[in-house]
Amino acid sequence: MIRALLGVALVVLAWLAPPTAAEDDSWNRAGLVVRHGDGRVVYAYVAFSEPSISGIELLRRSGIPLVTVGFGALGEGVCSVAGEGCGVNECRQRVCQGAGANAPFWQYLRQSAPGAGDWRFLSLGGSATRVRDGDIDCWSWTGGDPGLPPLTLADVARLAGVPANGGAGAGGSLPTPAVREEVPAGYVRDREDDGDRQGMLAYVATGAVLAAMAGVLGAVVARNRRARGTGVEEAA
Amino acid sequence: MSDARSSLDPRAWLLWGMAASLVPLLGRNPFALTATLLAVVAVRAAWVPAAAGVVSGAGLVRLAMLFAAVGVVFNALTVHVGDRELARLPDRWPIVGGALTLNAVAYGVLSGVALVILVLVGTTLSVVLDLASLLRLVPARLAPVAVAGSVAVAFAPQTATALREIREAQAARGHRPRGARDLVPLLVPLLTGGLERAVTTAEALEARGFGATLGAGPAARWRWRGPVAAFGLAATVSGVFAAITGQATAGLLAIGGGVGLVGVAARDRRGRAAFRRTRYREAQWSKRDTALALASVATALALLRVRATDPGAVAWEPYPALTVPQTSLPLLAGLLLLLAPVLLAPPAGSDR
Repeated sequence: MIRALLGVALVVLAWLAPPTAAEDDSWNRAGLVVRHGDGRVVYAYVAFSEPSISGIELLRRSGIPLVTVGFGALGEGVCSVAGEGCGVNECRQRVCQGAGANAPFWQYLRQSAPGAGDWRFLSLGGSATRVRDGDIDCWSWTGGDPGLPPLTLADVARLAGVPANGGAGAGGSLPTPAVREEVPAGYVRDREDDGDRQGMLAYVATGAVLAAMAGVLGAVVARNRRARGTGVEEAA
Repeated sequence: MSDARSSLDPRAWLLWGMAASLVPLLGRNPFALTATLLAVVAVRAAWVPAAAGVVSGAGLVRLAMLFAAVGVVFNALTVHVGDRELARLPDRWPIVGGALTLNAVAYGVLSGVALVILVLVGTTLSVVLDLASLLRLVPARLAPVAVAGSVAVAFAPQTATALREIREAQAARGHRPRGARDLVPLLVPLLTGGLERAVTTAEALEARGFGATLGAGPAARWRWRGPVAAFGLAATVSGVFAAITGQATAGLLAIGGGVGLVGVAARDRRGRAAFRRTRYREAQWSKRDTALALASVATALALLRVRATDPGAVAWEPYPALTVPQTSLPLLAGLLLLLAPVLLAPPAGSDR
């Protein structure tokens, strides 16, 4: 009798317990690693309902700020990820790759198997490469070695700070992506938002210079009109 | 008209054109683009008389504005990036599907302004410079290429004039084109007329000794001249490639060797007479030309200096977030110098 009660209690407890990431298999999940040029690494753990999505879509669904440009049937080129990369104009010309031998660009990599550590280029690019359940994609802003350790999906989930329930959404909805950034020891973040902001005086002076140039243009046009009027009077 | 146009030296004008083209070529900062646009329009108003009409390239400017408008639409439909979403097209639509953002519209507008500036600079230079003065600037060794180029440049307006004359002549005979078949009476005379003009031009050039050599002729030339020049050019190009891909030492060695070989081939004067070009009137370089050249060089240097120290003052990206563009007063001061031709312009109403 006691054994039967214990059995029922265990079944009830198991039913009441929140599902873990391993148990909740209704969604597909993939890992994403973004390694910046300054050594920062962003880990993301993204769930999706489709059998597979593109590498670009995985980046987009992670919520990491992304800028891409379309190349028609060739797909999209990644210009900047989380603010690092190049502008759209340069991206359209050469997908951020500079002239130097070690000039960085967004390299797209994947291991032959999770945990293998042999990060290889995905030559088809982010639009044509499919991401399936259990895959780990890496984007590294570098011109040389991507500098990544072997990673399994469990590693990425842990590093991305996935909660115990796998980040499950309320009411069985799609779990929100888990994203976390790791910074190297001794890293000092640039305060670019504050440092680059210019004072109002600079913009007022800019407006004055532009108004002066517009004034010169207006004076030239007025002079031309006067001259034309004089010419017509002389002809008359 | 020609004398008046050349009241400033073509070299000074070319320097001004180069300086005015740098901003639209190097970046999309709205303040820098606006300042450049105002300066170029003011110079155009001061130097290109309104009566110039067809030659002022007003049609070309209108065409550039049309392309700029198309560019805005194209950019908005194909770049789906930005934090200010205006509307959304279904994702299943190829290429255009996705978010339509204010960021993409802003970038399209700025690219359109850059295009219009470049066209305005080009059309202004085409009015204030004449072809003969430009041809004089070409080194004597490249004179045959320059003559061939000028013949090619003259082809389009000559053909347009011929087409207009043929259409008027056929209309006088009662010809009314209604379909593709009716174009034959227009196109056949145009083709035969073009061939006749080509033959006439070739005969005129030959009569003036164009491309002729004095002396013993090609047989007496150094037989390895061609291969050496080709090898030298190939080495130079390879060296440039190596240099810009980070292999500086190998690249510079290849460039040095290649240029040396091309120089050796170019120095070979066997079988070729040294023609000396003579000119009826040599171009005069005045103080006004010096002033314009200095102002243009100062503008270019200021721009490059600001770009090196403060790239955001020249380049501005509305992606991924639309932010207030940076401004640079030193750059704007440099761009003010683009107005130098306005100060050097002849009085309005005079024969320019």
